[in-house]
Amino acid sequence: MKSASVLISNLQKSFVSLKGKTEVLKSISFSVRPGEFFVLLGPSGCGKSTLLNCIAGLEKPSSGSIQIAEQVVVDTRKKIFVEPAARDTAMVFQSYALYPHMTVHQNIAFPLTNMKRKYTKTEICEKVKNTARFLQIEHLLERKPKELSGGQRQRVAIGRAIVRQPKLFLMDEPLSNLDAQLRMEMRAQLKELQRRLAITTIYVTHDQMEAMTLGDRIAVINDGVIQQMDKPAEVYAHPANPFVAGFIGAPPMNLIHGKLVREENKVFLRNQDADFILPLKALPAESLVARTGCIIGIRPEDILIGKPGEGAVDVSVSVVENVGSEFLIHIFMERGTKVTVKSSQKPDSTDIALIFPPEKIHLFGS
Amino acid sequence: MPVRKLLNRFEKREVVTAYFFLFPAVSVVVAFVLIPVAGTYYNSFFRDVTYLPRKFVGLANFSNILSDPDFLNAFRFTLLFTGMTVAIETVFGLLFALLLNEQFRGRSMLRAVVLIPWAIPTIVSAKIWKLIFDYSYGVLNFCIISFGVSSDKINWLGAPIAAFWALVIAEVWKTTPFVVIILLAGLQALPKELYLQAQIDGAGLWKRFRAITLPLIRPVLLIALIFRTIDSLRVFDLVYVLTGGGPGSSTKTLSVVGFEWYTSDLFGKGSAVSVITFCIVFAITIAYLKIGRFRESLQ
Amino acid sequence: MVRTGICILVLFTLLPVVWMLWISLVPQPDFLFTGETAYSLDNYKNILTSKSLHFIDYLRNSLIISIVAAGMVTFLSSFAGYAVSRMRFPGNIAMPLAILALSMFPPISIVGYLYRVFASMGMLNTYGALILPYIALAVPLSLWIIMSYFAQIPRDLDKAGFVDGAGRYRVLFKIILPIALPGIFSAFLLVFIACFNEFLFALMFTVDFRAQTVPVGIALFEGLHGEIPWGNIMAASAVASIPLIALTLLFQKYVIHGLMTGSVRG
Repeated sequence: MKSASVLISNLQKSFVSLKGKTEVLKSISFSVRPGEFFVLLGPSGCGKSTLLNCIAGLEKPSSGSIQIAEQVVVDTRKKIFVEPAARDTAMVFQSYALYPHMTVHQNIAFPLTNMKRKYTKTEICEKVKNTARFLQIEHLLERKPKELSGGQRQRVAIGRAIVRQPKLFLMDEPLSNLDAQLRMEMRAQLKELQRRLAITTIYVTHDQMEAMTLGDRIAVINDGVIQQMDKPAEVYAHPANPFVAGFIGAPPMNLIHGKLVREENKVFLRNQDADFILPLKALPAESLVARTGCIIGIRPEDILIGKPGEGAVDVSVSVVENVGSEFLIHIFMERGTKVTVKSSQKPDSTDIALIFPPEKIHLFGS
Repeated sequence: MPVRKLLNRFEKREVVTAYFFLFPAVSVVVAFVLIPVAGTYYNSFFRDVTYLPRKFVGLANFSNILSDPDFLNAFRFTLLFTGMTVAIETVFGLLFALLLNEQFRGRSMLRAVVLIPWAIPTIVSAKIWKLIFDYSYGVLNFCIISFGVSSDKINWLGAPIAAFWALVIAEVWKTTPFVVIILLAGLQALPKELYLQAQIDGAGLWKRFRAITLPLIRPVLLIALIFRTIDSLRVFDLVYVLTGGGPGSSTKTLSVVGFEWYTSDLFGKGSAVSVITFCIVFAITIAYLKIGRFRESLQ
Repeated sequence: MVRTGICILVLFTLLPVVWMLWISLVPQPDFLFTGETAYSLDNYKNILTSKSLHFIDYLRNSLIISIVAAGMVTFLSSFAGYAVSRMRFPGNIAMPLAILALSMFPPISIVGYLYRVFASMGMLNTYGALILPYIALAVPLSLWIIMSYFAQIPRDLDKAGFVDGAGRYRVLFKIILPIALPGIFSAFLLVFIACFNEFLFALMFTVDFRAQTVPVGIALFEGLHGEIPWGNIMAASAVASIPLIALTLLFQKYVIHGLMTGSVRG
C-alpha cells in the first residue's frame, strides 16, 4: 500500500466566539515520514484534536499549510483547500462514529460507495469481506453496531478506515472508551496492524503510556505549541522542559522546586522544606552560579534508598503503597514538597535518605 | 471593520448552503403568518365596510371597540374562561401526571388512553359535549332526573353561567391530556435519588412533593401554562360549536367576535379586535416568562 | 389510592367517547328517556352513502389536505432543522426563536387578511387555500421537534461521513435522515392530526363540499327536516375520530415523544 509523508508548516488556528478570540494552535510545524507511527500527546484542551481535524479537512486553519504526499491540501496564503473526501485520508474517532442504522458490512462498505471510481457490487463485497477477515470480524458482518462490544466496534471503525487503502491514517484517541484490560490488548493489536499495513499514521492521545508504546516518534503538545518532538525513549530520558518531564512516565517524574545555593564547595537545592545536596558532576558548569529559581527532576524509579546521612537529603516516609510488583514510597514534607520513590524493596524504617544518582538528575530553569 | 470580523467567524459556503436549506420553510412562514399579521395590523387602521368607501381612520376602530359592549363582554369572558380552564387543567393535569408516574401494570396502555381526548377533533368533542348538555336528549339531564337531584330538566346552554361552565368542562376534558403528557415528561426527568434521600431524611409524602417535586418541575409547569394560556385565549372552535356565543352574546370570546365582524364585513373592526387579541397573548406570554425568571432567580 | 385514581382517570377520559359511540348506534337520540334500545348501524350507512350529505367528500378533502400539508411541512423542516442544528451561520439561534414567536400568533389575526388575499386570487374553496396556511402554521412545531431530534445525533457521524468521502447532501440523505426518521415521523403525525382537526381556516376559506373538511362538515351538519340529526352527527364524529384514535394508540410512542420535544422548546 502506498503511504504518504505529511508536512505541516506554521499551522495556526484561532476560534472566535462571543467571548473573544482563543488561539488553540499557536505555530505548529513538523513532518511525518511515510509509514511512520506518529503520536501527538498532550492533555485535554491542548489543541491536538483540532490539529488532527485540520489535517483531515474537518476544520480550516487560520494560517499555515499542510501537505500530504505530493498534494498541498491546505494553504491559507494560496487559498487552497481540499475537501476531506479528496484527501485520501481515513479517520478513526474516539466514539468510533459507526453509522447506527447500517450493518457492519454497510459501514465498512460506505467509503467505497462514495469514491469517484465506481466499484461494482461484487468488488465492494470482496473488499469488505477481505477487510473483515483481516480484522477477524467476518462473523459480525450482518450485525448492527449496537449489538457489538466496545472492542468489536473499534475493529469495525478500523475496518471502515482501511478498506479503501488510504495513504494516511488519523486516529483520535481510539482507545479511550475501552476499559483498562481491553485497552492494553487493543494497543498491542493496533501496533501490529500498523506494522503490517505500513500506512502513515498520526495518532492523538492524552495517555502517555499509549504514546510511549505505540509511537515511532512522539510530539508532546501543550497550550497549542509542540513542547518536544523525538523518539519515545529520548523524550523519556531527556525531557526538554518541566511540562514534558512531568507528563511522561508513570508515576510522573518528581519535580522539586527550589533555589540553587553554593556553600563552600557544595551545591544545594534549597527550598522551604529541606536542602537537597547535589553532586557537582551532575550540574553543567554555568549552573554553579546561584539562580533565583530552579527545578530538579528525578524519576521515582531512579531514586535509591539509603540510611540517613548517605544521600541528597534525609526524609521521613509518609505512606508506602504495595502495588504488587513493587512499592511506591511517598514522602510528604511539611511545607508541601512531595517525593515519590519506586522501589522493589520496602524501606525498613521511616527515616531514610534519598540518593540521587548524578546521571539521573534533570535540571530545569523555572 | 466589525462586520467583516463577524463574517470571518463563518465560512461563506456553509452559510450559503444553510440559508438555502432554510429558505423554503422560512419563506412559507413569512408569507402566510408574518405578512397576514402585519396586514391585519394595517387593516385595523381603516374603516372597512362594504357599503362605504375605504378610509383611513387611525385609531377610530380601536376606540370604537373599547366602548362596544360586545367587545368588553368578550374581553372579560375570554380572560375568565382562560383563567378558569388553565387553573383546572393544571391541577388535574398534575394529579394525573403524578398518577401516571407511578409504576403499575398497564401504565403505558393508560398513558395512550389518556391521549384519546386530545386526538379527536375539537369539533367532535364540542358536539359530544353539546349533546351531553342538551336539554332534551342530554345524558346530564337524564342523570339529574333519574337520580332525583331535580325534577325538572336544566337548560344548561340557556343560562350564561351554566354555559360558561359547560365550555370550561368541555375544554378541560379536551386539553388536559396535553398538560398531563408534558408534566409527566418533567416528572420522569426528576432524579429518583432525591426522593430516596428525602425519605431517609424523614420527609413525608406531602413534604416531599412540596420541597422536591414542585420546585423542580417549575420550568415544565411554566411551559405547560404558557402553551395552554395562549391556546385558551385564542379559543374559537369549541365556542362556535358548543354555544355559538350564546345564550345571546354571553359566551362570545375574542376570536368569535372577530370572526363575526369579519364575516359581517366589518373588516376594520375585525382586524382591530384581532390586533388586540394578539397583544393580550403577547403580553401574557411575556408576563409568564418574567414571573418564571424572577422566581428562578429567587431560588 | 392509585387504583381509585386510575378509575377516575379512565372514566373521565372515556365516558364522552363511549357516549358518542352509543348515540351513533341508536336511531333516536332521546332513547334514554323513551327507553328504546334498538341498536343499528343505520346512522353510519346514512352518512357514508347519502350524496347530499357529502361526508365522503369531506373525508377525502381532509385526508388529502392533511397528508399533503404534513408531508410538505416535514420535508421543509428536515432541511431547515439540519441547517439549524449543525451548520454555523449568523442567526442560527435567532431564527428558531423567531419562528417560535411566530407560532404564538392567534389564527384570528391571520385569517382576515388571508381571506381577502385568497378571494382576490380566486383561490377560495381550493385545496391550496388550506394547505399553504397549514404549512405555515405547522412549521414551527415540526421544526422544533425535528431540530431537537437532529441535535441528539452525534456530530461525529457527520465528520465520519465527510472523511469517508461523502459530500454534505450525501451525508444528509444517507446518514442523518435515516437516523432521524423516528423524529420526522413524530412531526408528521402531530402535523397530520393538527391539520385534520383545524377548523377556523377551513370554515373561512371553503364554501362547499369540493374543499370543505371534516370538522366543517360535522359542525354544519343539518338535518333534512330542520331538526338536529344527532345520530348522524355522532356517526360522522365516530368515523372522523376512530382513525385518529387508532393512529394515536398505534404510534403513541411517536406522538408522545413529539409532544414532549415540541414543548421543551421553552
